[in-house]
Amino acid sequence: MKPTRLLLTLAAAAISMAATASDVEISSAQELHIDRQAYHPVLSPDGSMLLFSTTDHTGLYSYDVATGKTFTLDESAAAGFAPVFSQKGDKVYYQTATLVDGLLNRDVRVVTLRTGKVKQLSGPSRKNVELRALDGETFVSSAVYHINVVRDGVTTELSPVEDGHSYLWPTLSPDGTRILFSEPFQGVFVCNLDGSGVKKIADKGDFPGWISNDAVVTVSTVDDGYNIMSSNLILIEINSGETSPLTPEAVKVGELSVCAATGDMVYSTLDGKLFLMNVKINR
Amino acid sequence: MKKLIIILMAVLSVSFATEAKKMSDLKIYINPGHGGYTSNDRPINIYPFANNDTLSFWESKSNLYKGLHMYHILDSLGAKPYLSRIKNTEADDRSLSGIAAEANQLGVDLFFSIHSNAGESVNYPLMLYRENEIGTPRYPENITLSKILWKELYSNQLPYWTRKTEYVCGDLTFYQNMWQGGLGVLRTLYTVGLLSEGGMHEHRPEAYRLMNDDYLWLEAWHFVRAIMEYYNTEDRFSAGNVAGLVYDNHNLRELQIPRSFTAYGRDKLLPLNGADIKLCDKSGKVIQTRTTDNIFNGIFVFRNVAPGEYTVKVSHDSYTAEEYPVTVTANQVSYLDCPLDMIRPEHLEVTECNLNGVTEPVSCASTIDFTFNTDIDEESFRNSFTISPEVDGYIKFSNSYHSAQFIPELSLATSTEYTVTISTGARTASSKNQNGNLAQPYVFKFSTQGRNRLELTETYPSEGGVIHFSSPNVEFRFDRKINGSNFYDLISITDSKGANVAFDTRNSSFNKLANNYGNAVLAVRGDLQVGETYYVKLSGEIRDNENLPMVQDVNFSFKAIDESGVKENSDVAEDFETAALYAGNLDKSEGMTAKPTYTRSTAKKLFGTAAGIFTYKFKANRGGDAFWDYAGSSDAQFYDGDILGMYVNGDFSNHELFVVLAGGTDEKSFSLGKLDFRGWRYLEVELHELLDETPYHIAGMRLLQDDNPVSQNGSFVADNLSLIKAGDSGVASVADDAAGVVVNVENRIITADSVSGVKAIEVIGADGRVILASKSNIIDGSGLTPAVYIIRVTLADATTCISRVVID
Repeated sequence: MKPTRLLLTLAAAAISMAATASDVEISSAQELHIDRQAYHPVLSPDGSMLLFSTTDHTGLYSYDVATGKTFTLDESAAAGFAPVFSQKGDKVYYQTATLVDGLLNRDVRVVTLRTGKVKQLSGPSRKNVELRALDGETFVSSAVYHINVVRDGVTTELSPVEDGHSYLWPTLSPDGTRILFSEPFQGVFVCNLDGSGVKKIADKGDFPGWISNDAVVTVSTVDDGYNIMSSNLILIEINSGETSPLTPEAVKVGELSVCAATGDMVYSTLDGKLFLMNVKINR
Repeated sequence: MKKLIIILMAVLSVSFATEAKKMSDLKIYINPGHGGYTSNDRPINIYPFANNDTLSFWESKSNLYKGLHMYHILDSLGAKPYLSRIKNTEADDRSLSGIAAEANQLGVDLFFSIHSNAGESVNYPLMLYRENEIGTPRYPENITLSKILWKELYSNQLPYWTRKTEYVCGDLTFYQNMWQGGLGVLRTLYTVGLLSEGGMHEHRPEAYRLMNDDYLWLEAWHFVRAIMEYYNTEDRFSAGNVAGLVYDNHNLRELQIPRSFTAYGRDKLLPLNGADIKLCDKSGKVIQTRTTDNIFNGIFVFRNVAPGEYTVKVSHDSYTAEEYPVTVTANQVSYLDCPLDMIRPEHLEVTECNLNGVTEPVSCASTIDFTFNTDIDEESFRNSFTISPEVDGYIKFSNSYHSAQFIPELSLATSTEYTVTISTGARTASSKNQNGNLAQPYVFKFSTQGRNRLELTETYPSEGGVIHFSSPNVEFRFDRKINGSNFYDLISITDSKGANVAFDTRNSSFNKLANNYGNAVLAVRGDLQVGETYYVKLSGEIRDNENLPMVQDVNFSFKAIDESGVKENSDVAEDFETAALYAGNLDKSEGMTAKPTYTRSTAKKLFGTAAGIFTYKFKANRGGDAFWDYAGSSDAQFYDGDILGMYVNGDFSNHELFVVLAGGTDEKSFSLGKLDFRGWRYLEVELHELLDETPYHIAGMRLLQDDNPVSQNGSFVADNLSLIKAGDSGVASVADDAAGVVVNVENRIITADSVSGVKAIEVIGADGRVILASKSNIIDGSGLTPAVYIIRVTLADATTCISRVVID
């Protein structure tokens, strides 16, 4: 095994990492000062724009990472649940929810970030809608009980884990060759696009995201069945299986979004703050 | 070219209508709370299971079974249910965020989290719904649904509900003082959601019920019926259910379940294991059967019964069978109450009595304990029990009425022969056999011993007494060891405003005296207020270790004073600051089990940084004399007529304390008085009979054992031994002028009077020993030999004055 060197630049906490195959540079967490409580961060493909919402996904807001300016995109219920950037990053597709006679209905909308103009693409419906950003290549998404892999317009359903119950937060690796996902009963996995090569990389983890082709970050939580008691960011090197905490014990992480292109990650805390960190993996 | 496409997935193609809905319209996410068998999964230790036995109660398990039942009921009605888990392993303990994300992704109409709550002495449903902020529900519909569900669960007549009023609450409101963010599983939901706490699993009867599959099914059925009402669905349950409890109509749960926990109503009675229940239609045909479980529930539920008239037949090998008519209505639960009468022996028998056949006199604290061959009818026993001579008392039943105990209100009379009779009116508790009486009267005699009261013998402080204010200990002494278990409930000390004085229970003690004497030494938490009067109330219910009561309440008052004032014109001869000032001298001591010891203490000092602790252990009840040699370096010189004073923290031992002085080869002991107090007190003695013009130095300390057998071991603390030169004494002037003390001797009767009030008077001989002592202002000196004596008068405010008198 190669010797390891871990560079902690501006490290706020004593983050230790055991022997790994790479040099890892981790910046300290910088709070993004936003004039409201913010949750559910979603970084744009180039990391320049950040979407966030309220605890229960009511409202969709943008935050320009360079300028620190915040814009209200939509104040509707559920608007902040799993919004999808267009590949250019100039538009955001999302759904909103309404209760019609007690039943949940969702529409589909798109907002142009430059103008803030919102357009409804389809009206409220009881149908399940899956938003996919396609660039003619590959896209993965969760249909809860399986993963949809779209390649060249062809959708393949994957259930890569034996006895798997559901598949949450699937994402494509930066090189487009592997899928990272969470099976809530069995752990965090990576697999090839055809479902082969399944490898478990953690026993549990929420909101996993690629930080490079060889490393991922996930949120590891401990709860008592009612409330989250602790919740931290964990860096996992896929090949070695080595893990390292990225946040101090006292921090209670809510949700996480990772931009592999820049190595940026943004996480929310349970008390509604957003923090930006950067991780660089040097080969 | 990059583009975004939207794919409409026909996962659920529903035809949505704004009118009455069908169950098949609904998508419901079921979340059985917790998962696995760890401490977070809420195990409850219940008989007969071992601690943490997975076969015992686990909330994670009962939540899952309710969820599975709910899933199948919803599925059977055409709804679309989803389950967050279907097993109960550690892997099923999913992250709360993941569960909520899954429900959001599925776009469900309702998120339903299933739990039960903690609480041993209460049992009620509690509905928690998601709030945006404290007081504001995420959806108003959350409250509507929660109210419907609470009403549904409360309508279940199998449990005993301790709360009769609706309990529906937002999660942020409910948990605002405990956790940030409310319920983790509801936190990020964007749809209607609630968490049902169906009952209290720490309430042991409910824990047992939550292990019964029929009971879990019925709760799930209520879940679904609440959903039907909330959504106003067209379809309702076309069948009904029959639910009931089979239990002993008299015997208590304790008969078979050894551990006692809170129970109410029917839950106090013994549920019957293994009872057979048949549901028969009008023709007598058996439609369904049930056998009650073997874990003390007696529950049965006939599920999905077609509406109509039925008969429920209940039987058990040890009970008289019963039949109950029942009407089944669609979409309803028909409840049955099935108390059965146990088949008992033909006649009641007394199988054991603790005093029957006892020939030696028994304690006056005795109770009369009976054991029977079966459970007894309480009223018939009360009417048939007599004791002569008559004793005020009451009867207590135990062991599920298989035992009865006559308990005297106070105690039995001393040295008395009693006759106890149970007439043939006493009978078994059978409601079917009204003739199960005693075949013959049960009669016996016993006699009692000569003591039936606990005596309070001594207290410090006593009535009108004083005590140093700083962290004092108060002591109460009795003629027997006491029952200290509830002593704090039976004593109070209050100040003049009625505020209670708190005790430091860790530093308090009971029954530390020798020879079976009892006492309570109570450490006051913190300080008393100087000058304040305190009022002590001791209840007559204080009892000794035989359970004999004190009977009469005792009330008295005392005053807190500050004894740390420096005496006028005094010079400190020894400040007790250095270590090893004194050393126990076994050769000069008598009647010791070990050499007396001396230690320097910084914890118990009154002045400076330290004081000295003198510790002794006398061998017997009397005749002991402990001696400590002085090993310090004080060069203070004492002459005849000087006054020696010292601050002493007493141990209420009543032993007499002497300071020993030596001048040349002459050695004399001077009494500072008896250690009949607790806390700090300034003691002094006028020195006399010293050799003229001979300087005396500190030579030692003596403690002469009192002929009071309550204490053989103890310790006292000394600080600042001082010298007041003759003529400089403030005492004489205080005694004669300020305090106005007048000592008279007439016919050898010595009296002391003062406007301040006299608390005690002592006669001190030439050798410094206290010859006579009285806790009044008068003392009989007729036994004194003619000589000059020192009369030490203790005033009500604890100051002392000294006078000389001549006894002819």
